[in-house]
Amino acid sequence: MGPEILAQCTDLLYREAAYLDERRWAEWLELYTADAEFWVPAWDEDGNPTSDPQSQLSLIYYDRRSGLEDRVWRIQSGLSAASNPPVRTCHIISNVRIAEVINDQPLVASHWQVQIYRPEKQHSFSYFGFYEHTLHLVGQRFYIARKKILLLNDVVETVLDVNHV
Amino acid sequence: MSAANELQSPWLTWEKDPTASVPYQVFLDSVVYEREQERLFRGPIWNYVGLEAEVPNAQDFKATFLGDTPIVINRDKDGALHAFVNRCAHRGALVCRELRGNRPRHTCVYHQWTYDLKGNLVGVPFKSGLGNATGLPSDFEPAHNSLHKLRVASYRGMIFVSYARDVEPLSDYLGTAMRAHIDRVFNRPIRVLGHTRQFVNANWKLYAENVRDPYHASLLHLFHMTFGMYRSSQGGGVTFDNKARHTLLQSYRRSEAEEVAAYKGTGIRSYQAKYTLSDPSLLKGRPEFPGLSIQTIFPSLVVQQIQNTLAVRHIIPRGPDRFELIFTYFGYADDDAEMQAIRHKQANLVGPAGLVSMEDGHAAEIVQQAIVRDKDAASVVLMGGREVADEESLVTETGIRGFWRYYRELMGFSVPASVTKESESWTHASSVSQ
Repeated sequence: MGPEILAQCTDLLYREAAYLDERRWAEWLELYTADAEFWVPAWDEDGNPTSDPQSQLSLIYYDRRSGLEDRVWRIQSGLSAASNPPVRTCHIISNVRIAEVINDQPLVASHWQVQIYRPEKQHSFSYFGFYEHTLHLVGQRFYIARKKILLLNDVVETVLDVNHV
Repeated sequence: MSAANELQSPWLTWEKDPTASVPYQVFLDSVVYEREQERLFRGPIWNYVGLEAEVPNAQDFKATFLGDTPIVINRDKDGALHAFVNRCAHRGALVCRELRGNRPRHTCVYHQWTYDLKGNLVGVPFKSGLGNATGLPSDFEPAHNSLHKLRVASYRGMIFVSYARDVEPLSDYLGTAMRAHIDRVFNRPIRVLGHTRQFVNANWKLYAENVRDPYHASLLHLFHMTFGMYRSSQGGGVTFDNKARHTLLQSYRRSEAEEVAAYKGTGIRSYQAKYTLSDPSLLKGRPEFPGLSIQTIFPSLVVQQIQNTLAVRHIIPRGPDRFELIFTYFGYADDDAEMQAIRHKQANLVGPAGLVSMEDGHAAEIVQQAIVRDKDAASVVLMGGREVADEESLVTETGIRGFWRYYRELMGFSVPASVTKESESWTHASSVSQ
């Protein structure tokens, strides 16, 4: 796959980061296919991330986009004290590369860091790790069919949500 | 003046309605924190530290904490459990630096002092010297330089340790009522699914209160109130052991008509069914237990069953204003693939990213934030009255009152007789004014 494809993939990742940070939730969800998998593996006690969400524990796991829709509803409702007032986030993505191409669908690997600020506590912290986005081309556009988020610092600061990683 | 009285005054005043309020000082004070380590975590009680299923084989070990003391539990060659403080007898380094593993002996990396699986010192490099070096003096006794050994016992696969030499048998400590529930949850071999770890910037006892408090569950938790997983109008209540130090909160569904009737006129926002889940598969479990249950074993264990998620939660104090919370999720060894998938999907409900439990850690933090300058002020723990007794209601704080009564006893915080009288008269006055 050529540089234009990598540029398109990178653009999608950057747009996702912007939608999350700007809380443009509907547009964020729009980036995913209806059957998209969203997966944040847990780490086992031997220090390895879990490898199968069906038989091993995850920090967050959904096998379809509707699970993310419920998360978005929760955040937007303003009714959860843990998610309101909202945190401010800043997703920074780098080292973007096409790691693999399966049936013309690129698997895009990248490194990420999210700076999180909780205005309620005047407290900043960060999570960081690696992304794997599997992208499907529908018409002229790429959609996210699978996103795996490896969280390297998995000892959570009080709460973890889909926009923190 | 005894040590207990020194703490009582001027530092600690448990004066305002002592059976039904808590002075905020106990959540802030490092003197109180130090005494808890001595009297609770190293005191004459049992503390939960792990599951046998986490160390299933001979020579398996797990590193964890007793209060804030790092410890190791392991099985010896014959499979017997042993526990000791994870601190080398030589210069105090951590002996086990991994969370778990399997090995025939433990060697400290600093100077390679080596211990067997019972915690006995079995090897010291250059003990007899080298060349002109004389080694350790001849009066050095390896037997007096073991790892500090703890008493260890288990019930239905849950491992407890005690720092104290003199402690009642574990099964008596748990008591009949609590054992009956543990027997139900641990009714057959379990399989550990994994762990989550989170830090919360609050005193550990604010979380200990939270898990003994069925009153908040339908009010704080958006998910419960929206999807009807837990409602205050449900059947259920609070059961204690005979010392009211442990609690079992249970809720089960009643008919819709009964619940609507119970809510009529209360004007609270619980039980609204406007939103339906986009992904209803989340709550499509299998019938397994009659309702929801949260069991607490004093001081720092929670046994949780919410839908088909089973977990033990271990509360680890990390200073007066911070604690670590470890969820160990489990299912049963005979779960089929579909049941495993259900448990993993429903793990989205609890833990640090849990749709339900996210609010609990946060609630503890906003208390810690607000009380910072008000050590002498106290909370109000009056819901359901002043009693510490089993209750067939979910709108009660009796479980919290039981916790503090036993806590005060262990900590040596007595309540002056004059204060008790005052609070009794106040009870009378407040009941008239309502």
